[in-house]
Amino acid sequence: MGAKTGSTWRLIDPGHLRAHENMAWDAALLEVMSQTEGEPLFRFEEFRPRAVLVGFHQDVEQEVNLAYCRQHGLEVNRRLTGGGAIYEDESQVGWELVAKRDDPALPWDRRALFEVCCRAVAAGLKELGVEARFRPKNDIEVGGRKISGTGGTDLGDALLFHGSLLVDLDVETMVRSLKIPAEKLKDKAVSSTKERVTCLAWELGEIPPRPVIKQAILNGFRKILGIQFVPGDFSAQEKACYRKLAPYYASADWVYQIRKKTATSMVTAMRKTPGGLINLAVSVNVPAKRIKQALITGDFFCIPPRAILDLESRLKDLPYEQETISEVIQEFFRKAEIPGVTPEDFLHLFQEAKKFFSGKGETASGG
Amino acid sequence: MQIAGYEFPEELYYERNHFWARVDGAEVTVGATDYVQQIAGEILFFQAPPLGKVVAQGKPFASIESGKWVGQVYAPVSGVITAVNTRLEDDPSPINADPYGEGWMVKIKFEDLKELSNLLKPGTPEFSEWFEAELARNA
Repeated sequence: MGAKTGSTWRLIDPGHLRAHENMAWDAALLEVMSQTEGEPLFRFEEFRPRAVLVGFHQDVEQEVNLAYCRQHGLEVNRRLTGGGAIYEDESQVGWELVAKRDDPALPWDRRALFEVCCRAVAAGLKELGVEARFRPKNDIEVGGRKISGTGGTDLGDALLFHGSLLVDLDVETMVRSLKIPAEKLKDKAVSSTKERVTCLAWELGEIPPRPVIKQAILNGFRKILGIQFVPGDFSAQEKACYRKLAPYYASADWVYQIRKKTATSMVTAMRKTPGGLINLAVSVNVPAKRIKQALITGDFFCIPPRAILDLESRLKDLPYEQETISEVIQEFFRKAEIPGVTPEDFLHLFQEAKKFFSGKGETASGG
Repeated sequence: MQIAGYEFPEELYYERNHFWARVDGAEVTVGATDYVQQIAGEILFFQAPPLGKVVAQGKPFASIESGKWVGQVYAPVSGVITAVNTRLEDDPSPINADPYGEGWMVKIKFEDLKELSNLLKPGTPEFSEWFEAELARNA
């Protein structure tokens, strides 16, 4: 879908807010948009203090290291939108669109919406000198490393779509505050995460002033979606709705509303091959038999190196079935090469890890 | 009945957000249509309402998630939730695999039979007009 012209959106930049305040604004803006003939709006979303946000359907206790968050003053809250738990520090620049689902500036198809919005932010980042691009299905990446995730939701005829751009990431805090496979790697947790995510500071060697970052993002949306922005504020109706909703989004009823009887299992496996040692750390949604996140590390040599990151991205949310995983691994080995490592080595690792689903997280080894 | 590659069993009633209702005595069974599951792709989560929750026709009362998008489940009729397919909370894959069967979501004891007249039946001009408009949006 190409750029369209003539769309004018209200721009709201409220500055840093607490987690529950941002969540309540999300809910209020979406609710008012669904109840009125509302004009589309674009909001920057920033967090202070730092926070961990789970996806709408996630169980906080399964996803967040609550003791760590308490000790380090991180707030914990729940997004209205889908996807996984994320760490939001004060440096990140969040952006969001709230509009009618049939807004003429936006594609109706959801996959296309993810793509054009990611391309818009990537275009903005290019202006800052960062070679960012859309990575299907939901991310913005730089050289295979994720710099922004995205997510969305709808209510009636309104939608909310947002993402958060990493600006100056404290990886240690991210890894310790979230329950992610990286924590299984212990001393390698930070270094392996740094190979998988990036931020403006690392890409540019400096942090551009915040107004410059924000303007670049707006320019990206102007270029790709043809949106013009007019600075504005929350409306009286939105403020009234926010005041009504804010206490709920600060409550345990909202934050802890989803408690799964079922566990996410974190399993690891290891295999020695002629090409080196391979470690697999994978979190699994056990009842749905799906991979949540897989991390493949070790001292093997992958050509091109980013292929392994693409493979991890491809494995996300896939059914944990031999046939499906085998297909993805075969596809990976058609595009990439790891001297001394075969597709069977990878498949074997997934089979080994699978034996340990029912436990609390065990280690398998083989090879 | 197949329309543009989407299955719509003729005995069901449909509401305009693409959820179906099967009438059985004083209750309706509710689920997502074949269109929803095809458009959404693999559904990874279903969050059910509590038993006894009061729902209103056309209003959201539960949620599904696919591809980082949270979508709402809308009530075809007003009433009270009397049963929930709790299996879907652990494994929502039947919503994709069998949307009109194993993928059923809830049962609602309805308040007013007359509300059925607000719903659509395949083969009627109202249904065709609504669905053609939906297809056109996604074209």
